[in-house]
Amino acid sequence: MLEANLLRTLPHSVGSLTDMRELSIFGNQLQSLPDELGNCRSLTVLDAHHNELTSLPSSMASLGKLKSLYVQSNQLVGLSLLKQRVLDHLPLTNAALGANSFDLREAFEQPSARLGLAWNRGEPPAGPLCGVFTDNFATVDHLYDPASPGSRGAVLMVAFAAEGAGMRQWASPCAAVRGAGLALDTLYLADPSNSYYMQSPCGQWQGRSYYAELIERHSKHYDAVFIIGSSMGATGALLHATLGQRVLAFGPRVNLELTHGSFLPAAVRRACTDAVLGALSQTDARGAKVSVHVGKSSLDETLQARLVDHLPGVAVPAPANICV
Amino acid sequence: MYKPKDLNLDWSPRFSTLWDKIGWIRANNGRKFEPWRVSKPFLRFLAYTDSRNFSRFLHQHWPEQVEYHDTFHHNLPMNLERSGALSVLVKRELLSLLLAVAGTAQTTGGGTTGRK
Repeated sequence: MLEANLLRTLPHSVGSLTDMRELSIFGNQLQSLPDELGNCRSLTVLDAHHNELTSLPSSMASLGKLKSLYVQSNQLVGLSLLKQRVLDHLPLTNAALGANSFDLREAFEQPSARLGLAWNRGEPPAGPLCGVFTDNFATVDHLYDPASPGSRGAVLMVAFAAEGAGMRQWASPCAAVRGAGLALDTLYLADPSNSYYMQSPCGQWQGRSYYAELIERHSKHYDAVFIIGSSMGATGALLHATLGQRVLAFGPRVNLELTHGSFLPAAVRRACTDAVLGALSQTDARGAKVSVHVGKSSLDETLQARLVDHLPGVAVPAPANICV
Repeated sequence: MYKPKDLNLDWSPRFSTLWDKIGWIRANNGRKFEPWRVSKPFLRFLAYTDSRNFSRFLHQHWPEQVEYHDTFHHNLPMNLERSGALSVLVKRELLSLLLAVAGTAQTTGGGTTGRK
C-alpha cells in the first residue's frame, strides 16, 4: 500500500516481490513502471490510477494472474499497442482505462473483461463501439435509458455506478420495477476517473457541477426524480441529493479521509464532505427523503453513516429491518 | 462468515478480488503478529485488521456500538437482492415518491402522473 504519496519512481527491486498479490500505488507522481514489475507473477490487482504514466511496461504481459487493472487518470497513449503487447496476454476481468490520452479510434471490446474507456480522446469509429455504456464496456460516462423510447416515464431514476468501468449496476431492480408496471426511465452514470464523482472530464475537480448539469439536463422534464447508488455511487447520490425527491444510498463514503480517497487533494476531500452534508441538510425543508443503508458489520460504513444520520430527513435503517 | 461463492461479480469488479485481498491481509498480518503466540486471546484481532474483524472485536466488547451482521461494504445491495429485498425496497421508495408527488399535485390542482 503506497498510495497517495509523492513517489516519482518505483524501485526495480519491486520485481523481487514474487508473492505480492495486490499493489496499490495510486495517487503518486509515477511517470513509468519498472520492467521488473513483470516478475510479480502473483499479482492479481494493480491499482495505479491518478499517476502520470504515459505507458505500461511490456513485461506486464507476464502477470498471468492479473485480474484487475486500474490505471484511470493517467496520460496513457497507444491503446492498440497496449492491447497487443499487454492486455491480450492477461486474464483480466476488469480493465479501467478511463480518463487517459488514448485515441478512441483504437477502441476495442474485450469479451472476458469489463473495459472502461470513457473520458479519452476523440470518438470511436462510427458503429457498435460509439457511445456505448453497458455492463462490460463503456466509451461514455452516462446512458439515458427510457422505459419506452419516444415517451417519457413517470419517474426518472438516476443510478450512480460504483467504481470501475461503466456499469449498469442498477439494471436489475430497474427491470423489476418496470415489470411491475411502472414506467421508470433511467439515467445511468459512471465516474471513469474513479474519483467519487468529484473529477470532470477535463481533469479538474469540477465533477460536482459537471454531473449536476448532466442530471439536470435529463431531469428537468420530470416531477419525480429518484436517485440511487452504492459505495462511491452512493457518495455521488448524496452529493446530488438536492436534485431528487428520494435518495437511496448504500454504504456511502461521506468522509473520504476514512476510505480510499487519499489520492484526492485535501481541499477536494473536504469539499466532498461539505457538499454531502450541505445537500442533506436541505432534505427536510425540501420535503425530500434520503435513506442510507449500511452493512453493520463494517466499522467504516457505520462511521460514515453516523456522519449523516442526525440530519433531519435522513434515515439509516438497519438491513434487518427491511421487510420482504 | 461469508464465502467467495457469496460474492456476486456482477455488482462490482472489486468483488472479484475481495476474497483474495482479505485472505492476503490475514496471511500477512498473521505472519507478522503470530497470533497463536499471543497469550491474551482478545488481542488476536490484531492478526485480522480488516474492518470486519475489528468490528467483530468491537461487537464482542461493546455490543451496543457495532452489531455484527454478515455484510460487507460493497455487497449490501447484492445481499438484499439475493434475499429478494432490494427490488421491494426500491419499489417501496418509488411508491413513496409517487404518493408524495401525487399529494403535491393534488394540493396545487395539478395532475397525478409526475410528468411535466
